[in-house]
Amino acid sequence: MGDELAVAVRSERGAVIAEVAGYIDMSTAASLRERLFGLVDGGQPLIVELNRVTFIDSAGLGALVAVARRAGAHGGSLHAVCSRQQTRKLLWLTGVDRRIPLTATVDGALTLLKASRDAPG
Amino acid sequence: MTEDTAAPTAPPGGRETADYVQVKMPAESAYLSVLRTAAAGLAARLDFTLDEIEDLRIAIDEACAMLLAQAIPGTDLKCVFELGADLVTITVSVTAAEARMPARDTFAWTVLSALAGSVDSRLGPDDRVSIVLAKRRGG
Repeated sequence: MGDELAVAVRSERGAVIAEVAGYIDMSTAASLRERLFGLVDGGQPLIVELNRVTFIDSAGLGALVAVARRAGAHGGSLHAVCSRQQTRKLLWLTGVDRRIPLTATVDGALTLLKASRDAPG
Repeated sequence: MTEDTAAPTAPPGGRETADYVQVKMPAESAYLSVLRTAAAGLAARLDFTLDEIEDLRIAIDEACAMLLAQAIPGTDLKCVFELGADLVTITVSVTAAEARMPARDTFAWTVLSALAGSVDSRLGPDDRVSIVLAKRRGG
């Protein structure tokens, strides 16, 4: 069972974008976390795109929070992109959206990132 | 099963007793997706909305994930769906080495209790731990 989760990685305007497809539950969250850890260890900002995620639960949210923490420790950051209502609801319910900025589009996340880079201090 | 040929908008309501569907599977996380699919199919039979079905998929997943964390490897996870007219009650149980009530101060419990209408956990005989969740259509 190795096809449940796929991650496609690309770079855009100084950020790494990881497009995740499949489901994120306790059987796949650890491998996703490890994969994303590898993308934040260089200190570049990471945007994780969740629109093709068909299912995510608290194990998946825990993995994202771990990645955000690791990104912060390496001088980077984590943004999440999702327009699916159910996923957004879950992030909001658990308060994860206060820790990981959430936008509906990759462009929105890139704009947020640029704004935080340009912000004084 | 003449009921299946009735208009899809007719819920299997009006009957005196509930239907029971039981799923028994290895207590392994790899099977969670199968159980989520079963839950979605059964909720659709009760005419739950897409949002309600999605809530139920997540709720049952969270309940199972919590129990799998303490299940004895090689044993089974048992899931019983009780299908009422507009209410589904799901009891998930595993056998644990040191059975304990699931912690309630976790992401998982927050999600579970928010998405299911009601949730309870029980310690039964024979080191059996159960989570019972119920969700009503339109409720």
